Amino acid sequence: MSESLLSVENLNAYYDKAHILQDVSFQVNPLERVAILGRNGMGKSTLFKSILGLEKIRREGDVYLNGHNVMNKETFETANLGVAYVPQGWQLFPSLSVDEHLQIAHTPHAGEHEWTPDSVYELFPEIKARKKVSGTKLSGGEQQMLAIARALVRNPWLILMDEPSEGISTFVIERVIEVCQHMAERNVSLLLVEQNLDLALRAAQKVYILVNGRIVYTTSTEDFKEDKESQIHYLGV
Amino acid sequence: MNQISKWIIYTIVALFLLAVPFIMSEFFTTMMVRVLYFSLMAVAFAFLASQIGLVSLAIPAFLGLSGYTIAILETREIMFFPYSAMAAIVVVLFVSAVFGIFANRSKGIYFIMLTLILGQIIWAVARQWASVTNGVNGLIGISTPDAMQFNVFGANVGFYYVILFTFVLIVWAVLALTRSSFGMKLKGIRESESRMIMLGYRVSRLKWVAFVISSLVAGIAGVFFVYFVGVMHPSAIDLDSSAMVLIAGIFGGVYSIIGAVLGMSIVQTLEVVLNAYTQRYLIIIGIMFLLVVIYAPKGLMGLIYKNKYMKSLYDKWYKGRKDS
Repeated sequence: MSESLLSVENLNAYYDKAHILQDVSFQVNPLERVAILGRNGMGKSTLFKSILGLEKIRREGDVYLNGHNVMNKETFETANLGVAYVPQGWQLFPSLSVDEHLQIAHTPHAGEHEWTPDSVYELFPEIKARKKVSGTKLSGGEQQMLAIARALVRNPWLILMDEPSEGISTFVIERVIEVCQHMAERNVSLLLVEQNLDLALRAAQKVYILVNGRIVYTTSTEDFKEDKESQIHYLGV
Repeated sequence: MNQISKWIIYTIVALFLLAVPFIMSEFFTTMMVRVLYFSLMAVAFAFLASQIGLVSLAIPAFLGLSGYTIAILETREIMFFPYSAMAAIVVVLFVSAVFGIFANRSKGIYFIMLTLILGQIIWAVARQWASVTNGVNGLIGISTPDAMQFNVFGANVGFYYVILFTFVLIVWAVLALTRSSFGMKLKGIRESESRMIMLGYRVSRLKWVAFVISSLVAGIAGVFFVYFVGVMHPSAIDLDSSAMVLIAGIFGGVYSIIGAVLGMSIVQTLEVVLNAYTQRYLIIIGIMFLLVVIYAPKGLMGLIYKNKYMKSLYDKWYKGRKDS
C-alpha cells in the first residue's frame, strides 16, 4: 500500500475468459492529473469499471483508494471514499432536470473548497440557464458539462473521466481542458482516459500508455509532447 | 391550468367529499368508503410502480396481513382497537421489511414473480391454517371501533370521515414523498441503478424503504377494510385482488398516484354497477382494460394530462421517461 490517492497494483480483469487487463499498475498522487492513453479496445474503459467494481467483471490484484483496498467493496462504498465518475456518453437521468441532477449528487463537504450546485453553475453558466430542462434534452456539450458538474458536486478527491471529448465540439473540449487544469486548486485529482491526444496532453501532467491491456509506457506530458516517435508508435498519431 | 383554477377545483372536490353523507344516498357513501380503502391499495401499488418501476402483486397480501392480525386479535379477545390496529401495522412492517430484503434483489419480471409468490403464500396460509384463520370460512364478527362511529349532525358518518381524512393525509404524504429528495432518488433508481450506485447511493436500501412504505399504505387499507366489512376472508387477498389492483393501476395510469386512485374508483364502481346487471361483469371490465392498454397505454391520467391545459403536468409525469 502506498501514500498515493489511487494506487492500482497488478490489476487483472476478465470478461468471461477474455483477459482484458494484464498486471496493470499505476498511481495517482494527491492533486495530480493523470491521463491513460490508448487506442480503441485497449481496455481503457474496462480499467475504470474494474477500479470501481462496475459491471460483473472478474478482477484480481489490488486497488487502494485513500489507503483503503476497494477490491472487496461494493461500488457505492468505493464511490463514498471520495471518487466521482464522469462516464462515457454522460449517462444522465431522462426524467431529472439539470437542477435535480445536481441536488441528487450533491454531497456536502466540510472543507473550504466545497462544490455546491451554485458554485458549479458559476463554472458552467450554460447549464444554469437550463436548470429546469431534462438533463438528456441538453446539447451534447451541455450534457458533458452537466456530467462533470454532477461529479464535482459530490466533492470528490478524485474524478475519473472516461473519454470526455467524445461527441462534443471544440469549444466544449476547451472548457473541459480549462476545468481539468483548475481541479488541483479545489483539491481534486484527475484520472482521465482519452483518445484525444491534444485534450489529454493539455489536461494532464502524467501519461500512461495502455496497449492490449498492459501499461507499456509512462512519462510526463511535457516529455510525451516532444516524443513524436512514441506518439506514432503507441497511438498511431 | 393556473393556480386559481386549480384551487377552485380542489375546493369544489373537498366540499363535495365532505358533504357526501348528507347529499348522497347511504349506498353512495358506502360505495365511497369501499373506493377509499381500495384506493389506498392502488396508491401503494402506484407508489412503487411510478417511483422505482416495480410492479408488486403483493399489495393485497399486506392488506390481508393487517386485516387478519386485527381479526385474529379481536375475535380471540387478545386486544382491541387501537392496540390491535397498531399490532397489525407492526406485523405489516416486519413482514415487508423481511420480504423486502429478498424482493429487492430482483427487478422486472422476477420482482413480479416474487411478489406473486409472497401473495400466494399469505393467501395459502390464510386458507389452510384453519385453527388460526378459520380457513375458507374466514373470521367474522369484527366490529367497528367506537372511535370510528361518531355522529355528525345526528348522522353516524364517523367511519366515512375517518377514512376520508386518512386517505387524504396518505395521498398528500405520498405525493410529498415523490416530490422530495427521496422521491428524486427513487426516480434515479428507476432510470438507472448503476448510475445511482456510482453517485454513492446504497440502492438496495432505498428500494427496501420504498417497498416498506408501499406495504405500510396497503396495511393501513387493511385496517379500514376489516373494520368496515367486519369479516376477514381469504378471498380478500387472492389472485383476483392482485389482478384488480394491477388493472386499476394500469387503467388510471401507473405513473400517477392520482391516476391509480381514479383507476380504482372506476373499477370499483363498474364492479358494483355492472354486477347488478350481469354476473359476467368481469368480461366488460376486461374489454375496457384492453381498450385502455391499446389506445391509452399511459392510462386515463395520460389522456387527461394530454389536454392542452394540463400540458405542464403531462410533461412532468411522462416526458423524458424511457418508454414515453
